[in-house]
Amino acid sequence: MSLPYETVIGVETHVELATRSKMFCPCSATWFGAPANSLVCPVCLGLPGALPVPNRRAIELAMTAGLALHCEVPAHTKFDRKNYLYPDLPKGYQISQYDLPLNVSGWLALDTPDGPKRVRIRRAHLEEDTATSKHGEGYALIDFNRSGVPLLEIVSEPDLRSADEAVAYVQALREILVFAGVSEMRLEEGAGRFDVNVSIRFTEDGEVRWPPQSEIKNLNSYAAIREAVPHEAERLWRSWRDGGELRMRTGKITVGWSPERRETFLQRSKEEVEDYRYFPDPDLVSFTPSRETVERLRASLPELPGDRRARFARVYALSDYDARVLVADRALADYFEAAVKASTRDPKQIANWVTGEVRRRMKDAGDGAGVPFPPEQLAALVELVASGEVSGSAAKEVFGDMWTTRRPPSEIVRAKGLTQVSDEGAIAAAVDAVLAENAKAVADYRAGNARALGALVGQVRKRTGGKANLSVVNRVLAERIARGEATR
Amino acid sequence: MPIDRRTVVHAADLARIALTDAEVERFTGQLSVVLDAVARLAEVDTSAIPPSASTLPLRNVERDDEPRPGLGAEEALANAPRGGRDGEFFRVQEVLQER
Ligand SMILES: [Zn+2]
Repeated sequence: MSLPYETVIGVETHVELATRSKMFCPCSATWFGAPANSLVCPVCLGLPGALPVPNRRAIELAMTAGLALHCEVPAHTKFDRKNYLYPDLPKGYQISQYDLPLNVSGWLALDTPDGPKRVRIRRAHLEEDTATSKHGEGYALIDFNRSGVPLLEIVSEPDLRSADEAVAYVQALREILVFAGVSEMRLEEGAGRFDVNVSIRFTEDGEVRWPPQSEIKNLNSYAAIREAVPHEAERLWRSWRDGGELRMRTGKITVGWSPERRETFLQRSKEEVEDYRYFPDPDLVSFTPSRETVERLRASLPELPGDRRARFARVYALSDYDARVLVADRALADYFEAAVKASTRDPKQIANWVTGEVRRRMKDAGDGAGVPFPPEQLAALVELVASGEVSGSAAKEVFGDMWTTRRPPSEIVRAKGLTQVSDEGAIAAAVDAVLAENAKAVADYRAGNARALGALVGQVRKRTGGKANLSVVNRVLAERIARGEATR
Repeated sequence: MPIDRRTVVHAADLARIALTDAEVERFTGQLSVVLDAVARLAEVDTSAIPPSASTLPLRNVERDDEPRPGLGAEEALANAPRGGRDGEFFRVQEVLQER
């Protein structure tokens, strides 16, 4: 179904940085789950006379994020006060960055159904988080543990065209930030929040119309983005069509999203940047990132997911799917590469194990569980299969044993007697015996019943104690039956 | 630099200060005088002075990312005004309503 308008979307993403202490004071930044108001000091409570001192690690993580997003790091940057009154903001202002942010003009590569796309990043700046509040009937309860936690706000240009694209963007962004060690971005703990700017663009009377946007504040899940964006776009469209508020409006509005009622509601009808009365924070000095620091951070950037996926597909000849599954989990991808290094076989064989059995067992084992044996052992197992020493089905059994006992595969194969019989003489003897005993099945097969062959293969397997190499069995069987045909 | 009543009402609203009509009248005049005084700065010729975000001779003041204990809840909450404490929380009036 095609809509009568185009949805134009830009996203402001707020992520908490993975520091141990807060942005401007040494209180612990591990606020989630801590007893209320237990991680506070005069700075993050906004008590008179308290002075902020920036956290070096927070600045470095913010710059790392910028570098991973191909941003430029300006020569000078500073902190500003963003003034507004709200109970979760004890000083009456938030320390943020206004006209000289730490990172500008970057981009993020996105795979869309219409092909690859670059989403431009306008800026990424540092600021401090607010307190959390619980709302009662006519009052609110404030907990300042989160107040002052370092926050990075990443602002995209309005380059996204659908809710799905917006979700793909925040997922890709999250993947990069987690990979680069900038943020754990646990959405369920509120460590990632999104303000989504939505507007509609359409042609009317031969003219392109692009009325002012709505900013949907504080979405905290992919599901909320997926629901709220089309809802607000449609609301804007109806408002325009029915001669509603959008026809009169000249500036943007701020709306909230109610997941219960599944609709947006008006929060602020006008919001001008002058209202925040930004000015440089006189308690803080300006910041000039040194070229050495920038280069050191750039050098320590890990290979990012998109690049790694492309390399896996290119160097190891993996499918797009395999590359995607492996790279989705950094530990899994590292494990795969180590096993490939220890093996002389086709990397695809290793990939099959890692994306299949390994991943399944890790999932069963739960969060944080690793592979209980080193990658060299997986390479050894692949070697046993590739050389024909064990069958594919026996290898699965060996793998299960490796997982629980951590014994090397060769030892398990020996102990359990799982060595596959590939010796042609032994197999041929078994085949001859089976053919002699199953004249009817042979006749059926010759009469065109292909399924009869399966029964014969099964008989041979049984005779060899299930250890016969299936490809050898198939070949010898086919040869013998064909020969029998020729001699008759 | 005269300012109008609307600007004064808006500024008061941003500062969450309730003003009577008489006060708006009085402050409109007073704030104009204040702004005029500050506006005299614009008369200084700054064309030869490079822009600067800070007048302090310091740069890049930072601290290590080492957590230290702060006040603790009891001491923090001791500063709450009467009726402004609810268990381990600060209690305030609701300000943002769904409309
Ligand atoms: Zn603090």
